[in-house]
Amino acid sequence: MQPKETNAQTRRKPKSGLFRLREDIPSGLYNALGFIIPAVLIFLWWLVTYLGLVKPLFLPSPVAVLAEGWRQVTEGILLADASVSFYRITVGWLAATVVAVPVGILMGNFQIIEGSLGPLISTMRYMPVVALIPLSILWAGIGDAQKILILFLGTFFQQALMIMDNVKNIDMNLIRAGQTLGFSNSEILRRVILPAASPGIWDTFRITIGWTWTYLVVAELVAASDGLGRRIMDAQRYLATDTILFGTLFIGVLGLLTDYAFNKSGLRFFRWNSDKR
Amino acid sequence: MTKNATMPRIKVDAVGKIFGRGPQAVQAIKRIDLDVHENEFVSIVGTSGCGKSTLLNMIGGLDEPTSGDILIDGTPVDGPGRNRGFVFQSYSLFEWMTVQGNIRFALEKSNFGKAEKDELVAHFVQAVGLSGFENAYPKQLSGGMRQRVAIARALVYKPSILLMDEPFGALDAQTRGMMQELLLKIWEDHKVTVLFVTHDVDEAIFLADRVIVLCSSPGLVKRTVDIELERPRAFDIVTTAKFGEYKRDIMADIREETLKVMAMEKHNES
Amino acid sequence: MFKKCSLAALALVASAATAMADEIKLGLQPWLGYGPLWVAEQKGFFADHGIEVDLTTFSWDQDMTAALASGNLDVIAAATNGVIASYNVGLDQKGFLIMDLSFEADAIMAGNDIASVADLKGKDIAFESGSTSDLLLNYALRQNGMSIADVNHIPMGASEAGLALISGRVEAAVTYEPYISGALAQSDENRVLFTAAEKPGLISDMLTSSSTWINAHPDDVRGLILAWDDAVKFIRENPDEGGAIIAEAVGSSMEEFTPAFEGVRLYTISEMAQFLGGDFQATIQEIGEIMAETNPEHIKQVPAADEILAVDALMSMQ
Repeated sequence: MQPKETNAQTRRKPKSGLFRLREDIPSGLYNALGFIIPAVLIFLWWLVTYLGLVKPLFLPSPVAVLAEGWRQVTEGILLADASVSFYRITVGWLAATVVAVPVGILMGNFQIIEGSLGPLISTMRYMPVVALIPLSILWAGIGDAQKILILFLGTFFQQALMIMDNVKNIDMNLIRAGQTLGFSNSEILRRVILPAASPGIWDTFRITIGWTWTYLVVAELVAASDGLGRRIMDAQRYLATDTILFGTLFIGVLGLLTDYAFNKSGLRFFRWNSDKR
Repeated sequence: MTKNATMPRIKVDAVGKIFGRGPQAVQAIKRIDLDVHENEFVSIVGTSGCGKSTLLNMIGGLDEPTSGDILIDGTPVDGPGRNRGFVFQSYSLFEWMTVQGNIRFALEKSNFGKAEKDELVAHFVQAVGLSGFENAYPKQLSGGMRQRVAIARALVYKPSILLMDEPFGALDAQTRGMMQELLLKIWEDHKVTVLFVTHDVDEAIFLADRVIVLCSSPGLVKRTVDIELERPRAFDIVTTAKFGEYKRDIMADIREETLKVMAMEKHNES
Repeated sequence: MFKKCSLAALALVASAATAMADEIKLGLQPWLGYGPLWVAEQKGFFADHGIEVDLTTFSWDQDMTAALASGNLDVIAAATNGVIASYNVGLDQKGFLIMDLSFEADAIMAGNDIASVADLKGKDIAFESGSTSDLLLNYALRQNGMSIADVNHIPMGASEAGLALISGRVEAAVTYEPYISGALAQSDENRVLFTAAEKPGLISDMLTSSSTWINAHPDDVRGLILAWDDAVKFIRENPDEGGAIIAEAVGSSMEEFTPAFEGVRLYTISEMAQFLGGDFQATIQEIGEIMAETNPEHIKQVPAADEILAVDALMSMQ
């Protein structure tokens, strides 16, 4: 006579291992997926163009796109474009950050400043930066300053608000603890609030530089003789879709690299923030 | 004002607290009078909303009474100060500093030399039982360990008063028991006046010389119970008959208050 | 008998209805030269000739070209040089109607201290790459024995170019109306140096579509040509009303619009036919050569006139 338990055991089916809510999957699989999915998409892309399912004008093959990229590399164009664009992004983002950090921190800590600046910044956040190009020429001319201004306008407002949130999200009791230990307001700001908000602020940096990248094309519309964005806009005029695709994908890759850089450095600077024993 | 031997360390004199104004105003505390003497261990219990945390914050200088006065050694409270250490339920450790970093940070405003500070930090690390974890970061520690750091940080600069707001509320029962024993030992070794807010009646009685029961909505002192149990308190004192009596009385009080609150809420709804 | 008559009547109505039912999706930009299209829409000239037209306005001409290529638009207004560029990408785009020629409406402007095109040597000149401004400048330089290498190209859009000049950021700008009049109205330190009037046809616009569509919709093509003709004549006879419609469509005030509009010549059917029979073929050749010279990367072939024109219908209507 079989005991009842065995029947129940043999009848039970294990649930699908990879789709359990919020549970970890093997890290090898996780990393591999990150490569496999894009690889599959590229393969499908190649297949579609190889089979002639779409006109080359509409969708150049990955080979054509890479060939265009290679041409730009060998003619030195890509390096020149990438360096000047990278320079603009960096200076533009830094300009925004240098203002956004103090403004965000002050807004997060002092209601009077949040009340004064908050509505203004929230409104200006929605301004279409493209529409401000003529004004940017009048205010900043047509040189580097104008491009930096465009990138600044695209980055600063969101960043200030996000940093304000980073600061507001820290535990109020940390501030109270600082007070009970006898520290002044400015000391608490410097030695408690700032360190506590740092991991969040660093992540804000990572996210906002991604947005700065998306404004590159707008920044390079005026008086830019080279740059990744400039090249894409020129290619648009002639419907050179292979150049457009290469340029867009390349900017995406650069954005990914800056993202990775911030991520990795964040893990190192803020080792205390991980709960690994 | 000279310090009188009979002057209470903490004097809460006809203190009331109203939050907000106009029709939205909430009277958290109606009137509390309380004297706490030097080196006394006083527990405060009550239902939620009875104002116990509010009272503690006001004594700590983190909030202000709307009526009445709070005096520490005869001097009115004017904001937070280093004569009152505070331990929060959420630990509130500075996570970017190590265990000893946190404790040392508390000494910055003291006039000790480096060697003295090193000694004090080492002493308190050991006193709370965290030897070997000096260079660990708070996120790497368990809840109980973190709270021990918080206690060490609150005591290292030798405040005369320790204010604790449900410090063991987030811990499991076993850890809580160990922390209570540890706290009593530290209190006995370091001579400090403790005001301990909790909703756990067992904990309140186990630790204290006196238990203050607050009633709710609005806060008033319902009853003060002197705990005449001998010290040091053994862990199994909770099973004794005397302990049970205290517990029964206090629980009855709290139960009465809870029913009152529920009746009022029902009344407000209708 | 009655049944037969009613069936026939139904068929007639149905065919007339289907003839009207196909809406022509037409893309255009807010350019003065396309004015008659808005006039035709408002005054009902499209309906008069049995066609229904849906006008869509675009900011960038390359977007319109893409929409034509993907079939989202049936007909687009395009500059002649744009059609040559499309030819080089292998796009099937042909002009079936010449809409306008730009005379003073495309111009090179400079500070008063620059006396002639020859003086532009070594100067900073703002203009939009690949646009009619690009073409005009290259032509002007060619005429003076210079090339684009002799000047300093500051790339930006046509609307920004005028602004850059009057705010003193560049020494010369090439652009088109209404940005020309707009810039000159703001400051008297600038003047016009050279306009498209010096070579009529260089800057010209056509109504274009794919040859497939043109061949499949002869009635639509006819209707568009006739409606255009009506609109041009209406504007000549009623300049105030016609001007007002166009000014509103391009977003100009009447003060800005009136001087700007004078720089454009709109063509009726007979005028178009005459022009086609005359210089236009040679002009197309010249435009193509200039483009190939200045942009060898993208413009590798100069098309013959009949490779980018489909004007049989037009010629048969004169």
